[in-house]
Amino acid sequence: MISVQLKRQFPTITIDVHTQFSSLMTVVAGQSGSGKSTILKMIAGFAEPDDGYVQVSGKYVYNRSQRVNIYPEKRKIGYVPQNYLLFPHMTVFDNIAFGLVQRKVAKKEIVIRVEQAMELCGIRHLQDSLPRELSGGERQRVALSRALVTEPTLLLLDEPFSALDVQTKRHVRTEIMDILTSASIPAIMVTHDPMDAITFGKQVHIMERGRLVQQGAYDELRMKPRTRFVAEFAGLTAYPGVAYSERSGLLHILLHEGVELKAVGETTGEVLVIFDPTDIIIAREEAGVQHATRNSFPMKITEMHRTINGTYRLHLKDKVELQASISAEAKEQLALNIGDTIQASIKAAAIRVEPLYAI
Amino acid sequence: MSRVFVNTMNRLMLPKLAMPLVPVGFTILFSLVSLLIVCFLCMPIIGLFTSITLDHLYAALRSPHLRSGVALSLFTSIISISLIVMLGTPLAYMLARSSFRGKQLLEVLVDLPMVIPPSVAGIGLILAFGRKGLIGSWLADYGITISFTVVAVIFAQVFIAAPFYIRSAKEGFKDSSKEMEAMARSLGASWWRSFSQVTLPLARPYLLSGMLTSWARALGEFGATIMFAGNFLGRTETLPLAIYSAMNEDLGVAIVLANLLLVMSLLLMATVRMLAVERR
Repeated sequence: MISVQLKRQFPTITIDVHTQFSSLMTVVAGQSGSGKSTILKMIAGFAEPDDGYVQVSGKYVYNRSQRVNIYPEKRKIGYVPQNYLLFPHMTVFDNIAFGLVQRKVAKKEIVIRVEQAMELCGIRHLQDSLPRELSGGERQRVALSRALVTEPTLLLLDEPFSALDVQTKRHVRTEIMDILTSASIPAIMVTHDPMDAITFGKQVHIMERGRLVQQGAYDELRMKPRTRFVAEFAGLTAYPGVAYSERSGLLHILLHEGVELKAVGETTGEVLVIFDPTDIIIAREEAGVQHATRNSFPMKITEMHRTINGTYRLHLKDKVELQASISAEAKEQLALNIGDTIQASIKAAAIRVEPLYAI
Repeated sequence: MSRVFVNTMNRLMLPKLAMPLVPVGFTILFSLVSLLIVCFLCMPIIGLFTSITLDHLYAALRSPHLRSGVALSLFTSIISISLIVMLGTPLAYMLARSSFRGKQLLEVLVDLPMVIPPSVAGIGLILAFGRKGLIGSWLADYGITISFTVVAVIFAQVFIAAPFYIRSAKEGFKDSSKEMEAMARSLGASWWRSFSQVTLPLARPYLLSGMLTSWARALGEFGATIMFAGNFLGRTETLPLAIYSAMNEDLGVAIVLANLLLVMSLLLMATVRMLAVERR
């Protein structure tokens, strides 16, 4: 159980975080510059907050009001940075053994524990290599075993997969999850990649402009996103706007960009309009055809990308920008090209309207 | 330029000289201009190497300038470089790691001795540590004299040569990053251990090459030394000063001494080069 309250003012951002990390793996997600890496550094003891505390399993490692500020080396917190920071002048074995040597563990025991850690991460064969001879995925595993071998009470992972290519990322991610589960050390992972939240996301904290705006399981975030960023992080599309009731019973929403939408619901005032991009229907304009969808707009195709699973992702633009998915077959049938104007529609019932959460 | 000439150039050397995306004409022009300046830079060195004769060598071996000059130069420069490393390393570390107010000004001050004329440094040293100087007069009250002693030689060398070491060491500490040190800390290393086991080894090539450059500069120190320490055989007459004295007595001896200093400098700079390769 890790409980933190951290405040720090920077010229461009104010960090103000107060929360508890109780599950084995917590994901802290946010855009770059949201302050997520900084709170890891504060927990590790590399950066000092202006005010607050850090409590790890009932013990304060930092507490401003009690003047507690334990040196990083006494905090027993493992840290795996974004760029791994392996010691370039030491072999893989010496890198992993470093923490144990510092703790004056007996030589025989060091060998046993380092070998165990290398075994766990599948890097036994690399023990005599230098960091510069390793691939990204191998470096990442060395960094992880170096942190795990000292048996920390908490493990901090800063964008652990961001330096890996897409293919490596996918299998390293599941491997790391297995390793962390078998080591059963509580961990906090900072990321901007939704896939990390999906893989590890029993407990996801979303950080925006120095504050935690929402927390919960990834699926919960998807069910009830509070902010535009949370919605987009969960794979949804969201726009802020103002909603008012109409006599017809439908909700009428005026987006900030000037587009009017109709939805079903009761929430009025400042709202967030949310929908799943897969609910967008793309059609060729046909005069005189009547259909039931309440929201239908002509939009221009600005970009078209093929995705891994064979569908096409369309970037549409009118007053607002929108992304929609379409199957390859539908793309052929409609003969879609970049620059074409199509009709983008969504049913009123497919649009969710949530009150806007002020950060 | 005639096509024949260009073709000949091409066949002879241009494949190796060619710079990506630079037209042949400019390559030729640049090569010729470069040749000119390289010749100019090399001429004095060639002159030194070729002017030595056996007679000069015999004369030099008998000369008191050689023996006392070599001994004094080695003795003072080794003490100077030790002082520079001991006193300069903490400063270089601080300049690399902390960002205090007035740091820019301090950096300019530290670099200053590299660009001011040694004669200015000499007068400055006299006014600070001479018998009537700011600190010198106070020291004189306790019967301590610095000027015109071997200590003055060392003072002059430290003053002139220190910036070369401090600069390079600062780069080294910047390169072996703050984060690397923090990483070592989070693995349980105390500050001292993370400094000695991670930061120092990573900065080592920079520290060594800074040391050698600085040492070469101390060995060659002339202007500040002759003004602040004077030119007394056996006491303050280092090799560069010995060359100056010998010039008036026997040019041959001066030539031999000059060649000696030249070889020492060449060796030091070659080592610096090799270290620079190791850095990458």
